[in-house]
Amino acid sequence: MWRLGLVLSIVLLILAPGVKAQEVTPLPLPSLSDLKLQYRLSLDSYRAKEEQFSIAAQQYYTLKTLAAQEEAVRAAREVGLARVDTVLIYIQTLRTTLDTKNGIELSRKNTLQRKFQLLVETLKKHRARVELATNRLLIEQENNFMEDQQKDIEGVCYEALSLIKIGAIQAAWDQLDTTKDSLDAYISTAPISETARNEKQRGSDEISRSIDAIKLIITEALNAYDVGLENADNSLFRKVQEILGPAYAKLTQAQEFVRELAR
Amino acid sequence: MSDTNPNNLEQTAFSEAAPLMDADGGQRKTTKPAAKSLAEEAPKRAVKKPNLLLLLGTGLVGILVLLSVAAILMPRVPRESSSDGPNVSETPSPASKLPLELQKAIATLADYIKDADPQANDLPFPPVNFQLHLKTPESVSQ
Repeated sequence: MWRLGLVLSIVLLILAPGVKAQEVTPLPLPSLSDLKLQYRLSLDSYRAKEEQFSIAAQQYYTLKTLAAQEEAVRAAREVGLARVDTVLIYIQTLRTTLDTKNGIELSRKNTLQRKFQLLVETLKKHRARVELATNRLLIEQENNFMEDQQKDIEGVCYEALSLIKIGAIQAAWDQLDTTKDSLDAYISTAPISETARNEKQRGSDEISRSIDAIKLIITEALNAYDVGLENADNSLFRKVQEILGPAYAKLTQAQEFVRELAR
Repeated sequence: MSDTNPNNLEQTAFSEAAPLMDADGGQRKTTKPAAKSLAEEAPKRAVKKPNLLLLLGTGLVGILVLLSVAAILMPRVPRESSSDGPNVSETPSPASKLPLELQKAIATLADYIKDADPQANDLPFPPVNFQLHLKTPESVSQ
């Protein structure tokens, strides 16, 4: 008997650190492409459930029976859950994009992540209430809650989209600056005639002017972003897109200059 | 028209006479090989075998020679074509002249610019309905 106890103790001693290690090791975060796929699937599910709810509600309004009401409440609960799940996955996709993409300014990103955290907590509480809602009044209460939340949800999401767009231009700008340094080093040592070297140097100067102009546009976009935070919505995102348009055109032109000079 | 060529006069007769002109009187042609005894066939086979082996050996050697010639010539083709390259254009390709660091920087820049188009948005706000309501039948009919 004591032998069996000894063997069990040894086995437990061997396995215990393994169990602990499994508990400590965090699960890998889903990749951006996985999240985008999950979001598309969730949106498809929401659309199907919205259609089912529309039919069930119409039957309830026509038949006015308790059975029809029960079915309408069930369908309303299903579509309510699908809606909040879709929004939650979309928010997670935006947050992962903010964390993984280069060029996004850190302090603005952190402020936005905190806003997202609060929003996610609010939406998760709403989800838990929808799951328990079994009558028409409770369902309608949660539908009203979600309608009130729409502006806040859209606001934070459009802030994120705006910051992601500014960050993408910033990352391309950083890379253009790095590439120009490498290009200048190449021009100064390349086995070419002095005339050709001077010509290439003039081209490099043109890229420098583009770099300065793009930097000014990025600053303008960030100012518009900061101002737009007061009442963020789709118009903020459109404004940022509009401001960044010329910066993108200058980036693509500078890219062509780089290719020409590297020939 | 009369045919004056003496060779053409007796054509049918010639074909009939041909076996008669044969020294064996046609007997040799009618003799079947199956009638020969096995004892007579054995020496003939023994004589023919070396010839077949010789032919096969020659064939194999020929194939080997052809293959080795082809193997020698094959690598020469690209060498000749590559040696022709600089003759056509004295300057090497620009990519080969560029430092690796600059080549990588240009490729990375292209990736970033591709991702930076402000008008492209692959994450549009979800088209969900925030105005979903389950009203009473009375409020709907009103």
